[in-house]
Amino acid sequence: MPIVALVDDDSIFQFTATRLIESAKLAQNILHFENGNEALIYLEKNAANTELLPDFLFLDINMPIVDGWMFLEDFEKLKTKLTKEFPIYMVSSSIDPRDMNRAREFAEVKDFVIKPVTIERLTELLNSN
Amino acid sequence: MNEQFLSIALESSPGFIAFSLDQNYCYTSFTKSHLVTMKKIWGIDIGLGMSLSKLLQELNKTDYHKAVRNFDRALVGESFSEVEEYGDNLLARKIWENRYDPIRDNDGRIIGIVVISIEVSNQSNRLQSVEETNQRLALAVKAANIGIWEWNLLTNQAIWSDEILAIFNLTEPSQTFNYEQYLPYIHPEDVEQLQENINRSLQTGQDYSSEHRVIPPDGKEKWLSACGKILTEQGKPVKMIGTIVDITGRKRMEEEASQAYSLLQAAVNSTADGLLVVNTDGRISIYNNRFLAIFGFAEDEARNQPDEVLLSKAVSKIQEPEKFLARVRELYAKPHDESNDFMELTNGRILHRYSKPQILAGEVVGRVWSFRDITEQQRAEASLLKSEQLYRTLTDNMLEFINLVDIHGKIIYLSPSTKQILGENYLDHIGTSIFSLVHAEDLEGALGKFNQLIIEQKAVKAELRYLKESGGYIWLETNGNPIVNENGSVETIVLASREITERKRNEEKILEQNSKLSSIAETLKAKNEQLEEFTQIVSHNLRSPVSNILSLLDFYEKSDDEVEKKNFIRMLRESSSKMLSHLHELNEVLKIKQNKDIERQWIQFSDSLENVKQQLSVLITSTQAVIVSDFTSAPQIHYPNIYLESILINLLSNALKYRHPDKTPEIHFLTSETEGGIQMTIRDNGLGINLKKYGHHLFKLRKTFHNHPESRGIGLFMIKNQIEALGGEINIFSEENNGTTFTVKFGK
Repeated sequence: MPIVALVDDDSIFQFTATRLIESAKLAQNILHFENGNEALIYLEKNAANTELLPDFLFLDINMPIVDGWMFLEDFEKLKTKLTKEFPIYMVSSSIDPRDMNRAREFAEVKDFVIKPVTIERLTELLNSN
Repeated sequence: MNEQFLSIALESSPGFIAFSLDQNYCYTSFTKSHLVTMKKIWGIDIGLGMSLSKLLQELNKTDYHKAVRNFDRALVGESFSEVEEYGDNLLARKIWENRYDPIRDNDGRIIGIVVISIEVSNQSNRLQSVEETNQRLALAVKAANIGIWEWNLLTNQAIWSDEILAIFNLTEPSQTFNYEQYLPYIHPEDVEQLQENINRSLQTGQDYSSEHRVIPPDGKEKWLSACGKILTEQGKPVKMIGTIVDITGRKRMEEEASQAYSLLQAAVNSTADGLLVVNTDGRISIYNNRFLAIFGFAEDEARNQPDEVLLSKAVSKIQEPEKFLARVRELYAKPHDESNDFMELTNGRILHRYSKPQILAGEVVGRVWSFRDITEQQRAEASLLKSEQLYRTLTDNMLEFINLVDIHGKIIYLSPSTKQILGENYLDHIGTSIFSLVHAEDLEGALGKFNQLIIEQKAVKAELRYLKESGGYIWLETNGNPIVNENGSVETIVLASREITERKRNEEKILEQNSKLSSIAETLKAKNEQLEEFTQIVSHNLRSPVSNILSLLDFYEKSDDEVEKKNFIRMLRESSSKMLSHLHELNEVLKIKQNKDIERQWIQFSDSLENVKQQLSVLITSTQAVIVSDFTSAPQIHYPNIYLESILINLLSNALKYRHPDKTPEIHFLTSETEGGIQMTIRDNGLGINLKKYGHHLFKLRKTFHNHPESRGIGLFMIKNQIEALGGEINIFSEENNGTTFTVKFGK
């Protein structure tokens, strides 16, 4: 069972997503981060601890302090230190195609997910490897 | 008595001479006739006691030796007669019959000699005339500088005259000088020929003659012409006599003449002009091949023609022979005249004819005619003239302004079209500088281009304003083209110009339009960016709560747990109110953007700040913030009241929200009057912001940089829009942990 990280300042999204993942028993553990900065701090701290690093990371675009884009920029530098590779899914309420195109420029971003996220979509994403 | 008689008899006999000498050849007596003869022949005065041998030794070596030999014979006792020649030179010699007798004393010892001479050459008329002839010949020979030689073939002795000695630069005639001794003086290249000539003469008895070079002891080579005749006795050659003449000068002249002639020949044949020289009697003395070619003769044909045929044939090839012949007659009437004119041949060739008399020693001896074919030159000149006329016509009739200037810009030519610019008296500008017509602001550029043209010898182009005669300026596009002379430097410059005033005006209009368009584009771009921001707001901020609502509704439907359902309802309300607040914010933003011309009024900064402080009193009290303000420099502003309050409320609440947890918040408000209008700075001692990291997001909607519950990310975006909508700007200076300073320029 994978570890899933949710990076989103929207507490209601955190709630609904967690509930969906738990109900479908899709994850062993769920890590919650309110913004990109918190997530970066956690990853850097546990870079060597493979068992604490997530297998999937859901990343919101609009967040205070360090938003999704800023996270991706810093993540590029951090990536080499990490002892585990994992896919990142951009999650946003945005339906702006420019955001989607921009997301494709980052190799780590495996997919772009538009809110609201359904259980079917989550299952599909978390089962793909 | 006998003695006296004898003496008188002797003295009175013409041609009878007697003298006596002692053993030392000194005179002991002599007849008056001897005195006279010695004076006549040698030009000396003799006297008793004088030594005859000494005198002769000085006068003539040959005669001296001969005489002393005879004296010595008599001194040893012999009495004898000899017919001999004596004289001062080879041809003035006279023939004497001399009787030599010894004089003895009473004891029979020989104490002297007596010599009695009778001039036998005087004895007959024949001999007389021979002598006269000889004398004349001697003079001639002397005058002609002819050397005489005599070669005794029996004794192999030779006698040279003084002239020959002079040729060889020798002073003493050698008694033993003979043929063998002569040979070393001959130039090595000529020896063989000379010997051959002499041998042939000796063998055949024919006259000998030779021209050969000699090298005298002084080393200066000379040319000699020699000839000789064999004299025979009883059919046997006994003597050879002849002459030698120095012909060095003649030889040199011959050589020079032949050189000069060959030079003349070469010159005559190498010139491109046809040359003909005709003597005064009508004979041709020289013509060259070019002459033949011009008049269409073959070389062989010309060589075999009598002169008059050749000349008449030449005349027949001339277009107007009568005219030519008339001119020739005219020239022959005035033989000293030169003539210089043109003529045409029947084949169409045009000749430049030049004629000059040939003068020798002041006498006209002939006439030199030279003919130059100038057909091509004439054609080239004609076509040049034609093309010049063509171009002149073109430039004179062109609408463009053509002018020609020298390398200093001095005007040489102005086309008539220039009248439009320079007026009726446009030609008055010829000789003045073209640059005096150029607008002062364009002068530097014009001079630069002009110099470039001269240095690089390349065409240049410039757009310049020129002064008009009627006042004002005209815009011309000027093309400059250098005309390079045969020395490879620019001589003149053709300037062709056309008016571009209209185009220039249009260009200015276009530029103006362009700047308008670009400012419009700027505005559009800004508008577009705002639109994008709206799209973003709609896309993110409104969709976000909606998607949450959808998720929650889904949960709610599927849930049976009442407690849980209540929780969903709470979250639904939360999301709904968030959406409402987003809509409200959007509305505010739209309001700002639409209300550019919102009403302004005079507001005291202090009043406005008081209002804001009241609205935020709870926060101020709870944070124990110290708010300091100084509005003395600019106490009031003409500005929309709600905007000013909005700016103050946002900046103050920001400062309070992002206060430093370990410090009492201190916020300073300060206004000042600047060139760009009133300016306000708001400085706090709060958390500050990492501008390097966040600066570019700072005034964007819903951007927050603090993980703070109250940060909504709307304030700075709003006030930036408000300030900029009224022509102002807002800037930030901040350092993390060291507070933030905002500067608001309200604009004019």
